[in-house]
Amino acid sequence: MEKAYIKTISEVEKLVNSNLPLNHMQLTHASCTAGCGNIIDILLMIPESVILFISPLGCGRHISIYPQQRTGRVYTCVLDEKDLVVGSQLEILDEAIQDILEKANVRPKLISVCGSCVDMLLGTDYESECRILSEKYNLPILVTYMAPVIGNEHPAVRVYRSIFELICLHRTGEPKKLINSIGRLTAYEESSEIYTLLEKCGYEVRHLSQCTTMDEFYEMGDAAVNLIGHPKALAAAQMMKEKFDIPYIAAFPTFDIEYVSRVYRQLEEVLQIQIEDEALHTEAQNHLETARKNMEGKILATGESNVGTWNAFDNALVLKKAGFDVKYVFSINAIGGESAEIKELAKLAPDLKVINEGCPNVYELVLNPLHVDAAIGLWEDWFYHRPETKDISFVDHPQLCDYDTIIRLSDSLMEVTV
Amino acid sequence: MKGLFNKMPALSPDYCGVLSVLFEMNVLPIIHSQGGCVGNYAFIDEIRWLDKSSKFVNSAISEADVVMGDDEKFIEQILNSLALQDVDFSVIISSPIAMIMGADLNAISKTVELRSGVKTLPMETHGLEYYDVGQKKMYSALLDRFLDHSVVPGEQNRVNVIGATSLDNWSEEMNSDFTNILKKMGFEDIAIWGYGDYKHDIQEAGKAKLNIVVSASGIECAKELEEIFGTPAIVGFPIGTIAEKNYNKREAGFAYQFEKEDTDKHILIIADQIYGNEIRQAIFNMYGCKNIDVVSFFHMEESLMVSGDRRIADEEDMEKFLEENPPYEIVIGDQLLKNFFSPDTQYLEMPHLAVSGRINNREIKNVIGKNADKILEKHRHIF
Repeated sequence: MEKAYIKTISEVEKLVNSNLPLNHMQLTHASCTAGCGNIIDILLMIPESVILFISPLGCGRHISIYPQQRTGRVYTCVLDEKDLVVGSQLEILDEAIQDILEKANVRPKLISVCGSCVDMLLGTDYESECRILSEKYNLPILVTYMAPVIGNEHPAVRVYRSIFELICLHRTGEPKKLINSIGRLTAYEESSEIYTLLEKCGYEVRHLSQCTTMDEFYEMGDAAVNLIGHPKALAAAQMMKEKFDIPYIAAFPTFDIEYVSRVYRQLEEVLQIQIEDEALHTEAQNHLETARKNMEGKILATGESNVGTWNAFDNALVLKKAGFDVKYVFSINAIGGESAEIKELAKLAPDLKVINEGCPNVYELVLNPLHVDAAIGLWEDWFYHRPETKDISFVDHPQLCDYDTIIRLSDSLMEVTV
Repeated sequence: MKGLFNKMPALSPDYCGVLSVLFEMNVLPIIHSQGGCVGNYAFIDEIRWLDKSSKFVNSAISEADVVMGDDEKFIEQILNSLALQDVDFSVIISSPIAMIMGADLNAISKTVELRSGVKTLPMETHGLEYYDVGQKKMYSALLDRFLDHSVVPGEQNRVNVIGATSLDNWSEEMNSDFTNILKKMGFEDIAIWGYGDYKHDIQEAGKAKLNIVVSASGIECAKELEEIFGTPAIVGFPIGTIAEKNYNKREAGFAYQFEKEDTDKHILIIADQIYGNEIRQAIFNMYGCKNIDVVSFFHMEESLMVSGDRRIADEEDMEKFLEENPPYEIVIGDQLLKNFFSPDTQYLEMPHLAVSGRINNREIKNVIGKNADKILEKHRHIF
């Protein structure tokens, strides 16, 4: 039987260039994965707030089972068939908010109401109802949807836009020496140089998850610049640029030292400051070179299975260019958006293997893991049965756009002893 | 409020129940849904991915699919997928979106079967009910489609063990231990429904001398087989050494007896009903405790309940139940249900994958026979 889940990068390039309508790699059959994507995790970053998610049971399952979702701030309201047939979501919404407020030990300062695909399709008007309920309960209510079926944009794009629209409603108009880091689920690591470099220039870097009060959250509307950590936050940044002239800079996660340097140069230009990063630039270069030497003859795989990591093709390309032996790319996402990297990789390493994590029989790789010495950004199960593979998953310490990330990666690669 | 979950996660949905029944069969399940539904199966509700391989595909419904209602595109996807797989049959599984779209799974299945030559079953699960409902529907559909009514009832020294999936907390190890017990009882052919490729066993289910129901979702199936072939069924499996010794004396029938007395420590077991009943018996056998209630978020068969037992619909119902009852001193249940109880309650964690999923568990506790003794012995001090 054909191993449909594994193809060379050259084969993948041909498929991408074929312009066939399906966005999955195999382009011949349906896929196992798609995205409802981290909506709740994004909303959880709003301080002093709770989330009310209204959906069928199946959707509610995967937004209430992960440890970070079980801190008491997520309420999952499960609809039954009668609710959907009668269309009683709006009554349920009112009842649920009342219930949450009655039982809350500390009254939340905001409720995020999140609907699902079924509401988008049935035309449930949470927005109008929430305007009424917001007055009734004297509480701001943010409405959003985890509805991957609807529209061409990822649900996270909608959520980031909704959050920053809300933030911008509270703008004072007095610019603050604040740099917003948006689009990633986690802030820059404490060890990141970005804080000290910019603090020297008088600027604070703030991520949504670092806001402990609603005041700090709303202050982000007066930031001097937005650093975009993921394309999913681009629409929110564009909205802030158009409406309030807040510039933005793409600072996507990377292992590319020169890319990080370029982001600092852009910040210098936008903020009219001087950032002294030369020493760190050299330090990162030295670390990466030492790691490369240690990895000679050892095999690398890149993936994008967890939220702490980044585009597996981009990471593979950067590491390949830096002299590492990247043999495998595990891709969970649609490939269409990564065609530039695929094209370059196909030239650089035509035999590089691409594993489509969306293929029906791909799970046999859990049982028969590939020979890989270090797995970067991969789902831990792929090497559950091969513990000697060094797992550099970036789950606890995410990949970001700074020298610190590259030094952390290098240090992890130094631990590969196979 | 009804249907509101905060202290505990929303529970495993019906389509995951269906998929757990099919996991080890040579089948291609096709889920007509978007990503999250599939995510539940791939990342949360099926622990066997760590040890075994299986197949499934997802239609990844888009807005255009919903608007255009283009069944032909879906059928083409399925046919392409089937062309890559050598499977015995396929199952097309519905989801909330497919339900809202009004996707006619019966017609789609018939078309797929006609064009591919692969037997294709429609499965109307909508992600609105718990996993046990999906399992029940799947067992029933398998019987409807594959059961051979012409066999001679009881002609083989065979036993069908019905309802042993990982979502019911059954593992390979448990199957192996239970199989050994049944072999010692004289059965030669043991068919575990839930593990292994048991399509052929379903086909020849009527040949069995006995059916054993090991989780509540298997009850209806055993009743159906009793009605068709007159095959007797026993309910339950042996947890603890004493239960193992007495297992061959179990009487057939869908009845359960436990002499409850309100004099001991008040104990609550939250589990699948059959699993819970067996744990209750094991605790009685080891420690003589009689004041034990069993509740379940899933199907509770009335004839298998004793006074104090109850089916719990959701979080609100659980809170109501606890308010109505005197406090429990000992609770046995999934670790994610701890929030319902005060910290001074003695809590014995007995994971149920349909509650806490693979996210929070990496293994299933083997409670067959003497294995349970070790677990209960470790907690002797609380009883």
